Amino acid sequence: MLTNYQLSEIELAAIRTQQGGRIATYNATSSGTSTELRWQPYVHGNIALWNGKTWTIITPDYIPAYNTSLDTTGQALAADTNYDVYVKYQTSTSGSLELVKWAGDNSRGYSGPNRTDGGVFVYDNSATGKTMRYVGAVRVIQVLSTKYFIDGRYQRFVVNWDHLITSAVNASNSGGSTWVINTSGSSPIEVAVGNIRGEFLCLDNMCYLGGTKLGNLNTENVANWRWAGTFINTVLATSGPKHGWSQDGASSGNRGHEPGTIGTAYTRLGLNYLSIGGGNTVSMTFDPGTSPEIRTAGSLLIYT
Amino acid sequence: MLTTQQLIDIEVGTIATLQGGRITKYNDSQLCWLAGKHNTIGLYNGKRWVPVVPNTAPVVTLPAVTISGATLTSGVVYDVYAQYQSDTSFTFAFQEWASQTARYNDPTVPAGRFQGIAVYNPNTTSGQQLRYLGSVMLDGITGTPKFMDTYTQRFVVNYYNTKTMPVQTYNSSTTYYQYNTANQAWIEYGTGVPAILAAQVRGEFISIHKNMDIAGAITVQHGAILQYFGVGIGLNNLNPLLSYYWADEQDYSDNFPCVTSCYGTPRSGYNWITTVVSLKNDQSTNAPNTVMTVATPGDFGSGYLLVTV
Repeated sequence: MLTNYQLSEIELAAIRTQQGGRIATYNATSSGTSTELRWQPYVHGNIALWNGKTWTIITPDYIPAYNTSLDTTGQALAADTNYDVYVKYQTSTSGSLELVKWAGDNSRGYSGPNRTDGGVFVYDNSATGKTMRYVGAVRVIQVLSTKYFIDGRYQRFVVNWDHLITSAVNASNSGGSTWVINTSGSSPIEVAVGNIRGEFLCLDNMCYLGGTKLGNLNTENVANWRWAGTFINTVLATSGPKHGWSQDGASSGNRGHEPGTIGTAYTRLGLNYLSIGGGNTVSMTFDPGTSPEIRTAGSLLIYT
Repeated sequence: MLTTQQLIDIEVGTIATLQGGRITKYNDSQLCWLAGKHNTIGLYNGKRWVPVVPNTAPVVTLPAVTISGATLTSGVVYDVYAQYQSDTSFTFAFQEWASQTARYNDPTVPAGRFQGIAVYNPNTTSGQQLRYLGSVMLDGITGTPKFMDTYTQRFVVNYYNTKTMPVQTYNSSTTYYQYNTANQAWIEYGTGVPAILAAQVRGEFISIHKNMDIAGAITVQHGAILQYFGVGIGLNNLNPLLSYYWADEQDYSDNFPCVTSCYGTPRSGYNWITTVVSLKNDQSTNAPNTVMTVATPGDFGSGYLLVTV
């Protein structure tokens, strides 16, 4: 016969660890934008929540946001802002998604999420806070006057705490114009022209793998080494977090060369950038390519 | 004392959600379920969820049949289910897809969730007893059907306890590769190219998650004369904008390796990757070449992707 303590152990361990779903955009456009975020079953359909007295399991078809346009304090969702996402207990068969605003792009600015005495991340250990189980984070964007969640090539802004999957994030020149890197020193700089940045959220410091390539160097009269690669978070030095480098020495003549790289990168909590840049002792110009090609681009495999 | 609800939570939560194994190719004619994180799987026995701990690894041996009695066939995608037999055993059940990229077209097989668990049919007791484990495709090339899980054919994909595996495409020919085109059109190796095509190997995989992305790299080496071309990895030979990147190279005399990166979103079911090339004609100072000869067969045109299976 099990003792009360053993029964308590079963109740805590067996129930509270249940979380089989993922948060995701719902009815997203081809570019990845959506006005609705949902928790949906993934490996299974259970999620354990503290109902105020004990841990209990609900198995809904999905969990919607309590209010699709407000955070937990009742404030309107703000553009270019990160939010933690919690599933809050509502009834024995339902929950709701609750969004808690971060203070900055890379700083939560509040004490949560906190682990309960049972090890599950919740908002905090208050009576209400314990009913909110942490499931991930999002970053809200605004297009014209509408706020959106987005999980697309250039903006991976829905990231899960449980059951991570691989996703690709991309940086490329979609502007159709040449890119010019002007620097008088040997330190590389990020190319800040065109739609080149890929952005993504990260909840941990992870190492990612990816590659990049740069368009034809059509500054043809330079007989110097030049460097190019993909940057993480505009870290420009040759040490520290970066994505990868290649270098190319060209001789004279009307000729181009494209350096390609593959490498790894470490990320930071919250918002991260994937971008492209290079360095030289004089300016250099990258050919953007002719449709349908995109010559200057980088991609990275991340977990969301 | 635990309440009735807590007991139900434990039964459904801790037993139903147990699935510690992976479906694995054992040999060409055998597929098995091997313990991974642990050796227990929760199966519905018609009345309740039961923790099944197989005495021996469940195995299916070809030739085998589907739920409807059809023999498993090369080139066909099948969903794989675990069917409860006893507290110490289960058997495999197979359901063929309607096509290589679409699941069943039988409206009586809704394939949904029963108490949160993916099963064959949540509306019937017999369907509830079939727990979804993953999908396979038998070798679609030639000869006797067989299970495949290699660098070039990732045809065993799990729903639980997935891991990341490489998939590769490369030129396996013993001769040089020649590519003929005067235009910028993308051409996949093996399509409309009149040389060494029969030996071209495709990297292939199947995916069960539409939202799973891929990223990868390709290396290329070309030879002697003025060339200007692009390479990439083609995914299902679809929209190049989604599937390809350029790695352009113009060089007079050197063999020069270059690397490019690409990304793509696989479709549900059967996918394949290939290396792709195209000559270009948008350089005003250089007329396009009509023939590109690639040095060092085997080194040219390797492509790699990471997939989740």
